[in-house]
Amino acid sequence: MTRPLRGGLAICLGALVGASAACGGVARDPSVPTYAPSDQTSAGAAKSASRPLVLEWPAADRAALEAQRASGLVVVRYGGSEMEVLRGCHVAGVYRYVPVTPKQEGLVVRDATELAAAMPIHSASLEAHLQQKQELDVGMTIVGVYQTDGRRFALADLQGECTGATHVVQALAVGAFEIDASANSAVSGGVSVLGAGATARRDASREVVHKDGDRDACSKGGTGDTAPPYACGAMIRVEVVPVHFPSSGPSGTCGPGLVAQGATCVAVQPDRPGLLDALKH
Amino acid sequence: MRFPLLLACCGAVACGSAYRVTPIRSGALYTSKGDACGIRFENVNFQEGASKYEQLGLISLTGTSGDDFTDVMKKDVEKAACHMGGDAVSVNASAPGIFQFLVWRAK
Repeated sequence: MTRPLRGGLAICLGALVGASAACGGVARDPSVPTYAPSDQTSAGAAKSASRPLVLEWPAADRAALEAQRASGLVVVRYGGSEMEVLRGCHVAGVYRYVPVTPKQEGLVVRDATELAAAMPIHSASLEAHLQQKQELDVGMTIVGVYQTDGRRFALADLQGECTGATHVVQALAVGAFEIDASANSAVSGGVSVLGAGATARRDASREVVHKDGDRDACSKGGTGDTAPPYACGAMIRVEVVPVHFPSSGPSGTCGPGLVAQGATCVAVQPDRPGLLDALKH
Repeated sequence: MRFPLLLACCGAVACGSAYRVTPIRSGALYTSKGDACGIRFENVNFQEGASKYEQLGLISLTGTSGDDFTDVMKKDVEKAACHMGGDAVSVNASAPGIFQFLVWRAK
């Protein structure tokens, strides 16, 4: 009596397991899981520290950068996730505009770490949008680059009020960009599974956070341009090189905030926060 | 009987957040600079520090609770580093419950 009962139970259980496997509903995304601990920076962070995006710079800073660029080479104080244009500091030289074939570049930012990696400076307002919307889509079109002759800069090259100077802007990419905030598709259940309805919901949640320049205007550029096309001159990315300071003291050591690089001293990597900030998170 | 037990419990609770500060001197010894001397907290690695400073030793904070480095801890590190005659400190190691700093003096 007990044996058939046990057998029946086993069949029922087997049927249940089979049914649940077959009718599991949503197929799993077969993508390879990525190892991305939240407390570690990605390789992209290290790469972009000397080439930060400046899409979210405050208007005053962007204006200062623009004005300085027009009158000579731009000197900045860059460190601890901040970059300040030193208006009273100059370096002899000019930027030459080099047009390039329009380059489309896209970037999806899903968390604060990715945001800090892509935009290590002035990204506080984007962080708020990221928390609200979960995903930032950055679309950029680059049409040209203002660049120096690629020389090295020493303390003796700086003129004027240059206290705190650490870097010189070596290149400045210009074009047009748009930053959209939207609900994260991965978090909301997967667009590929849920289909058009989810896509529509995602589009409805999309919000233009910041836009500068017109992508269509960027297509009007040519190889002989000496300046970017009208409405396509938004500053997108700066590339900085460190100012080389002479070592000081009887034993030839580097001052506070500087580290040795060959026979000279340069500022510590700009994406390193101050020690106390890092310790206090 | 109850009172000592209560005292022990209170002591354990009160001392729950206490940590130990251990200065470890190495190399040349220098005169103390007092309790506060404007120690710089520098985010440099060992090689970068050693290229411009002389190492005076280590300061370990053990038994710290949580991950946060508090203002009280900062003052304790500063005091111990000043007593060693240091100018700056950098992190040598940190782990749950432990912060260890290198003490540096300008060459």
